Amino acid sequence: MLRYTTRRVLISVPVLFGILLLSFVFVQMLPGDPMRALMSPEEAAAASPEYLKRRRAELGLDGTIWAQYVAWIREVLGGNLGYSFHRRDSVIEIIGERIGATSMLVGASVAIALPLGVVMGVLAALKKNSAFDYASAGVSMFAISIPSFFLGLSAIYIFSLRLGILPSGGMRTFANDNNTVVDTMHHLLLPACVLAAVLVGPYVRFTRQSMLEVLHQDHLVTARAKGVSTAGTVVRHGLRNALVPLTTVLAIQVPALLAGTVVIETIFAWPGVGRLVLEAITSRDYPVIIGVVLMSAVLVMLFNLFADLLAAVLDPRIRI
Amino acid sequence: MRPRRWSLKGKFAGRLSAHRGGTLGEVDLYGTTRASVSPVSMGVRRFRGHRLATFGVVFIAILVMVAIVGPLLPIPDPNLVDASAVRNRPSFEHWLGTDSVGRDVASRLVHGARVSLTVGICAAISATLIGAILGLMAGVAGGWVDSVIMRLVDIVLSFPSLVVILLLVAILGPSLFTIIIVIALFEWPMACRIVRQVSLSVKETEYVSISRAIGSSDFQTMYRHMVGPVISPLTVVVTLLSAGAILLEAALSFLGLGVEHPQASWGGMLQDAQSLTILQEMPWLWLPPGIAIALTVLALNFIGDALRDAFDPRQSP
Repeated sequence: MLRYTTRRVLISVPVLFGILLLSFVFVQMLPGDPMRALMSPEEAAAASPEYLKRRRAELGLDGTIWAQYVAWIREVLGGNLGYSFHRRDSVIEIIGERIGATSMLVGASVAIALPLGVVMGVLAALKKNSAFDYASAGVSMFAISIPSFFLGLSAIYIFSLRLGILPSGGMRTFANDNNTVVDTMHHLLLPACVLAAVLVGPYVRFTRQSMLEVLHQDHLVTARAKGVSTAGTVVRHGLRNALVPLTTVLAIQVPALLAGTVVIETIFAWPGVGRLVLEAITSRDYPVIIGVVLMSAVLVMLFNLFADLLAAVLDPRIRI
Repeated sequence: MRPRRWSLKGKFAGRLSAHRGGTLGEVDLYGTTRASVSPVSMGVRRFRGHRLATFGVVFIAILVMVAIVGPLLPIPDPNLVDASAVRNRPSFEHWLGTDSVGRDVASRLVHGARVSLTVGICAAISATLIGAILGLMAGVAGGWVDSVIMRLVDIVLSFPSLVVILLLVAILGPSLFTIIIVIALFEWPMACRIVRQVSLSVKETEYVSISRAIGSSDFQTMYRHMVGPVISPLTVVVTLLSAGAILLEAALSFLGLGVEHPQASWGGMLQDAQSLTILQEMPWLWLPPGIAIALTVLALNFIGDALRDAFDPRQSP
């Protein structure tokens, strides 16, 4: 296990630096002076030309492109993702304000999609080629194919505008101050369900697939032959093995999740990171976008690492 | 629907079919057990067994024709602004009504098909080419080339592609060309992984070892022995990637960073529906383009699934 862990961690080191390199390329592509993005507005406003020159040397922005890359990595690893062009705050602070709302949305939608997807996938695998199997394949196919914004708009149209049972956007009602938790839940339900619909398709497919692979293995047949009930074999011997690949699927889905939040938070006026990205795009606040891109890429890398290690713990065959 | 399967009902069915040769799984009525049928016609049969995929092919064929002859059709100019006919209901004159500046929705829908299909096909083919070349290099050369390319795949997959594409389109300026290139640059890993997988398994075959033994180079091996086996999985990849690219373009246009105005695009047509009044009272503005995107992507996904089933029945559900 130690060998596998070391190897897996060592593999992610070049990936991390590649992510940083690509993000640095994005920084270089930006119009204007990269220094503007690394200094706080107060600092830039008060600065004399000599100070700017010295600061440029300090930040390493006067050297070759490689020296600049190294200097930039030092800043980023030290926690300086730069400053917003439009607000007098650092990118880290701005993302920090928004990350809570996004985590809530993402958490809720995974909490809806995961049990639903696993149950549907298992049932579809048990009753292969039955009406339920076809129906669940159809539902997950639709969920993959319908653009999330169209699904979101349709959901608002049906549940907010026609039926009037759920709010169409925002995180809480302005008029009522009490009951904020219930109120937020009420606002969360619709966007979380739409995001869950985006996620559920792959969950169903992978669960069904890996369940089918497990179901015919000898140890399951033996368990059945020894008189363990169907439900017992499915849950204790089948599901436990079938869920190992699902940890990897969960990690692979994280980028899709982030893309989903951009669209869904925009439609539902949910004040999270996804909406922040779009606001930053419209106001050309590039440091913020690059900050989000960099942070989410690193996050995805960590998730993948964690998922692979978890899979190795759960299934010793992976450790080779 | 799938072809009818021959199977025993009841709890022994699964066990029995598992005994019948690992790769085939089950014996179906469409000739999988008959030795005289060639792999290609077996594939064609399996593909045609998917009625939904047949629907997909017909739908995409019609869409392509509409997109090609669109400008020749006797429909109003999609960019003609008419201040006297703003947000009109569907009528005989405007089949699907008019939008917020009086443009004909039906003809914008027809012209939007051109954008969606162009982006879908071009981005998918470019991404597949990039991925196939890198995948072949990784599979055939192996060693450090393989490691570098696989790390590159990991790096690209770490980025949330929609956000990166939004960023790059914002920096480079929105245009059809930029969108296609940027999508291709961030969607190639799927093709790369599959091609690498196939070429690794082909590399182990005896005919490749023999051809290496008589002195063929990496490039010759690639050209002679890998391109063929790689083609069929790649058709699946192209189909699925074009579905993904169409969804991405629609999302970009919906968020306001798609093709330039006033060019019609399906995602862009849905932009107006972010206002609740339009959403509630003018469904003719947002339902048709939304349904068009969903149907196109659905059709492509059905085709992709059926192709995968036709070429490699083991992999598909």
